[in-house]
Amino acid sequence: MGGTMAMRILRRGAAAVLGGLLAVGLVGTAAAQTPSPTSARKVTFVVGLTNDVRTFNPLKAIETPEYETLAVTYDTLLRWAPDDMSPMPGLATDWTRSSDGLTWTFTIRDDATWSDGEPLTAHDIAFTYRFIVDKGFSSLSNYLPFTDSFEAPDDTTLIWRTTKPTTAPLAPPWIYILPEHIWGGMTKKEAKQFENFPNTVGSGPFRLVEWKKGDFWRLEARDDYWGGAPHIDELIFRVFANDEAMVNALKAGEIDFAEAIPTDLFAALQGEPNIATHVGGAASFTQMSFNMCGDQAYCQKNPPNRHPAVTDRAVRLAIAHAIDKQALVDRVLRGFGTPGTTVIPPVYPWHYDPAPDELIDFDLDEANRILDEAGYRDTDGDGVREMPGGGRPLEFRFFVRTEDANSVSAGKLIAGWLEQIGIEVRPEAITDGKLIDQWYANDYDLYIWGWGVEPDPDFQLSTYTSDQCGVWSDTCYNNPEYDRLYLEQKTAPTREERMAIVHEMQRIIYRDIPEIVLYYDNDLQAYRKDRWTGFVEQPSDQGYLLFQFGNWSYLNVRPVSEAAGAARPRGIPPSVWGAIVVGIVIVIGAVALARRRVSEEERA
Amino acid sequence: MRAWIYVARKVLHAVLTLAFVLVFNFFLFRVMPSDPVKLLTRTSSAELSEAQQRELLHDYGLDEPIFPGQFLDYVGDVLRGDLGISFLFPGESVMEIFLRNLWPTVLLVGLSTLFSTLIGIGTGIWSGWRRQSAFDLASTGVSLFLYAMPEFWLGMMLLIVFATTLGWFPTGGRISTVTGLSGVEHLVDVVNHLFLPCLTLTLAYVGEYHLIMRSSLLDVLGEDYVTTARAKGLREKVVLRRHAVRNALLPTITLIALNFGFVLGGAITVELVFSYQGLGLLTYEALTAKDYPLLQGLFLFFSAGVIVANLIADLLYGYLDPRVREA
Repeated sequence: MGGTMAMRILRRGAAAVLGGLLAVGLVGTAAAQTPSPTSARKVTFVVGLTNDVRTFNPLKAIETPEYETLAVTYDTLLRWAPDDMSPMPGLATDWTRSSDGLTWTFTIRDDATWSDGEPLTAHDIAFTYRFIVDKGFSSLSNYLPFTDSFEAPDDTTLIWRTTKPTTAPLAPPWIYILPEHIWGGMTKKEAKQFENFPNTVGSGPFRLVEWKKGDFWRLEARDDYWGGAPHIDELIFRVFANDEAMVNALKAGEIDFAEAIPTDLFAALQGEPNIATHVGGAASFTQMSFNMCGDQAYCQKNPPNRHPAVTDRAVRLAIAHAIDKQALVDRVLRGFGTPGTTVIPPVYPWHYDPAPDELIDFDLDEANRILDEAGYRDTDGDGVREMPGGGRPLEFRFFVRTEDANSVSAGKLIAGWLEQIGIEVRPEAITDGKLIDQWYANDYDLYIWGWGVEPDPDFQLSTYTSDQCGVWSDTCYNNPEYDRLYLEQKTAPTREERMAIVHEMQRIIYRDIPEIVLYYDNDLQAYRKDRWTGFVEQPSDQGYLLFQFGNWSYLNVRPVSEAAGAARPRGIPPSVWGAIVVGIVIVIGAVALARRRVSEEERA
Repeated sequence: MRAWIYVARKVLHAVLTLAFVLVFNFFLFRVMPSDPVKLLTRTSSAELSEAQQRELLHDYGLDEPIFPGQFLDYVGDVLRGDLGISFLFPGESVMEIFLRNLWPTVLLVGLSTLFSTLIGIGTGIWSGWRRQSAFDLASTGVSLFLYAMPEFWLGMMLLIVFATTLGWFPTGGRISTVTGLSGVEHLVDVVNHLFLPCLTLTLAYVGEYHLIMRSSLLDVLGEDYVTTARAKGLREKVVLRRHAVRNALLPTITLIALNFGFVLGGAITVELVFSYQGLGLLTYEALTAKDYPLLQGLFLFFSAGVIVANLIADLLYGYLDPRVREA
């Protein structure tokens, strides 16, 4: 039949075309396999993170990745020294204080420039501080207390006048200096909505060049940075959906640094040959907080729903005696931490260590004795004590965090110890969002939460003042004496005098027990030691390698060799993919040809 | 003519379902517990004065009654493609965030669905046709094994073997952080990152399609019309292609459409395991951060996706099976 003949010719033609394609494919693969001249790869340092950046606007930053990026794209008036976190020159090279203690004069360096080429002057600094105070950016203006005025009589002089004597200018104020020529004309609303990307203008050692939302953001080193050019060309922060993925990427060499590694994954990394593990300084703590709401306006508006016994210091003291903090460190943190005492961690000179006679140690007998004496007795013999004179049993609601596995384990251990002193707590793991809702509503008895503490103790201490209820206060703690001391430390004329007040404030919190500091947890970091060196630890003993106060390591980190720093994409190379594709085409083509031959023979 | 009535009826049905989802979605997110002011400002409402809170509520139209004011606003906005503002990503609309995360998931779900259906149907036909052969026993065994496997676990195993241990593929992400890749290098980079997530989703569904295709083919092979076809003296291949497979495909197509929702669910876990930034990972983030506007948009999209997949299945059904469109 004619039709069959035509089909046959068509098939022959198809076979020829297929053959031609195969030939082209093979040549293509061969071409792909010849090594292309490698362009000089950039020295790229990649940091892994598990939470994403939301904004590059310094006035809106709240999360760790945002602060870490700001630290390399902006500058502060003063910096925290790498060895002991004491204030040291930054944009200001020198400073003097007037004899009445109210006027500070800073000399500003003349070689700092913005990433768009404009010079950074004292006018930018005065502008930034004025902007924050005048426009009322409350989270930052706290660093500029008792402000009278900021003036820049010339490009290299900043005069800062205060209404009361304060050492706050040496804190140093944790405010990134903004370019006046960009932010100058903005209203508060505009400044809050400002994306600050692309075309971010900063003065730091790196310039933000790319943001692949959800994947990574890329920074390029500035050769003209006043503090010296970094030893890397590029800095990349890459986001992971979970800790396992981040640690896997470190093992595979896709990233160079990982931080905030959970203890179990960290322990598994410790044997890896190319990876250095680092137990960082414990500048944070985890605490158990009690519902202390008193007669503050916020508590009137949101009346607390809680067990009445948590407001009794005797009950809180008994609970404090019933918690074996060393066991928490050993069993929950696997030893990566230290037992907690006061609310400023021991890594800082401001830390107050309770005297032996003040120390609340682990002592279940003492805890039982305190409760007996205060009249909490088990009247119905069910193992749980009742309120004095019988009635409501000591059963507390205890919230722990699903987002912090350690808090869940700690909660279980604590419940076990409290059972032995006749207090029943039921740890309930809830999300941070839910916990914050409970806390806003004052609807809780106990919960576990944590803090990262800044080098200057002012902010941390402020969170225990009564007017922070409903804002930053964990517990709505209310103590006029404490509030008075807080203001007093702000205006202490010398560091020594301030130190004494700061110690007294920590002593008060430790004695009153609005919350129990369970432990100071280490930050666990790891990096590829086969590729990188030169990290600057801050502070120098048990400090942080990255995620420090400042950008010391980013300025100093360097590849161990030129080849080690060069980045290349991971995965199957293009040539192999080419070969695989060609292989598949050949197999399909061969099968098709064979079948056709069979069917043609059948028909013939 | 009849065919057009069938198509029109199916499309109308899909549109009505979509309208119901739209309405349901609105009320679902209104009954969820939370204080919008708190969610919006991400700070304590104590810091805001009552006047400021009222102003905020007014700005977002939340001081209007839920019905009809807020409801009509919502329907109008959705129809115009305005899904609101996300809390999680300040300064971006839900639509922008959505579009930026759309193509990686379309690529992942699309390719894995394509591969799992092609492979599953192909091996299923072969297995059913050569029942009790070595191929049938082996492929059905493997299919049962894959069918029983949770996606996240399979993904983690593939990741440990092929990324961490062998180092053939990247451990996660959509693209490398390396600069200066050429066009081909970039394409290969995307394929390398897509490979393991796509393989995971493909393997997770291929077993199911294989088993359904196989059993439905076995059913059909026992039918009288197959015996008739054979009795007519048709060659075995023609019997298989024209009479058996075409009928046996019907239940499989229903399953693929019904499965579409599960595949999207699978994308959430797989994207999480591989840190593959797409709609799945976005859903997870929106859930943990209680970003209601974003979640509302995602729910709407996922529902629409499943409805459209079912519509396509219905239309395909009509094409493959004349009985359906004539009924």
